[in-house]
Amino acid sequence: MKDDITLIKRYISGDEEAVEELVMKYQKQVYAFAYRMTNNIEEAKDLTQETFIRAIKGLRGFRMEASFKTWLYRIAKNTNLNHIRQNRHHKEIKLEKPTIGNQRGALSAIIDKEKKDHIKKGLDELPARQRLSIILRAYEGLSCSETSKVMGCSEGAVKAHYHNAVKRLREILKEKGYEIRP
Amino acid sequence: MKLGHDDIKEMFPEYLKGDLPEKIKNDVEVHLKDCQDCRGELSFITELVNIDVPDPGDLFWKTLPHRVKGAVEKKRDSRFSLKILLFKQLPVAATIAVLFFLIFTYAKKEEMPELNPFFKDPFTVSVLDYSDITEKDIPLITDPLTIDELYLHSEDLMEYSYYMEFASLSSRELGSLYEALNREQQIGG
Repeated sequence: MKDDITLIKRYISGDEEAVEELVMKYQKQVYAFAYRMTNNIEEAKDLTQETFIRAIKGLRGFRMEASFKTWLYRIAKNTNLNHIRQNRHHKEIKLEKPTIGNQRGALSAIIDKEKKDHIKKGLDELPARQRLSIILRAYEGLSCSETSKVMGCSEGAVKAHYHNAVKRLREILKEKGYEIRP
Repeated sequence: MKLGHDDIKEMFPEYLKGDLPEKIKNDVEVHLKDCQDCRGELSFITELVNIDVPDPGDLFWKTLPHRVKGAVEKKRDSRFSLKILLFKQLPVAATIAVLFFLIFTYAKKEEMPELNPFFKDPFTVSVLDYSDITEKDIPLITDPLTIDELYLHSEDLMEYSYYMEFASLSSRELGSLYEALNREQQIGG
């Protein structure tokens, strides 16, 4: 994969193919982020496309000394939050009813699935900033400094949001009777 | 420097990714051996990270770059651009205007009203109506006129009449002309 800045410079100088290379490089990360923000495949697909269109359109205004990845996540964050704000009444995550199978280990698989659904639901109920901090830090693997740039706040604020988010999610699981053993 | 609980917990995403420097990684592991709370949080973060994202399918991954490129090009084409206006459309408009002006001035100079779009001459060829002309009328148009007919026409057009010549004749000359005409009529000339 080529360096981001090289690709951006190629696009600005008129090479349209560079756009495709940039999208291919980051499409999985942007989609995963959108899915974790919305919990819906179709919405995540649309938001991924929208994020890239906005990013490419604004590419000429990108300052080359900044990180393209952080800049792209910032656009993705804004696109996703706008979408969530416009669809405030978005559907609740429905917890699927467990079906008891005969396979060995089926019960533990069901419990595991239920636990994951509760985590997803808990994540969805978190305030936007807490949700963002946990998605960017834990899932997307961004550093504290990168997360602060994407969220547009201080590193201290990111740490606080992240800490509160983890605490709240653990409480939710505890309330539902799931024990996370060390 | 001894790392506290909060510092250790902050590092779990990097620890799980394997991004920590060796020394700090060892410090984290030493701390985890003695701290149940931090081990609990690490287990939770591990559970969290293991929640999969459903794959939208190969078709989506393969077509997305092309769709993004196409959408960006489409939006760029539809948007107003001063650059395009100045460098593409204005020269074309200027060329058309210059051509138009040249035709106009040439038509004016050569008195060709049919080429002049601002001057509507009712007698131009294009506005005349030939619909009432039949085949019988064609010889009248094409056959050469007789001397008398020519004379008549020239009389009409040039305000000149051969009757004016009679006015200059004396009564004697008029009398002899009258006799000559009578003779021609009797002979049948």
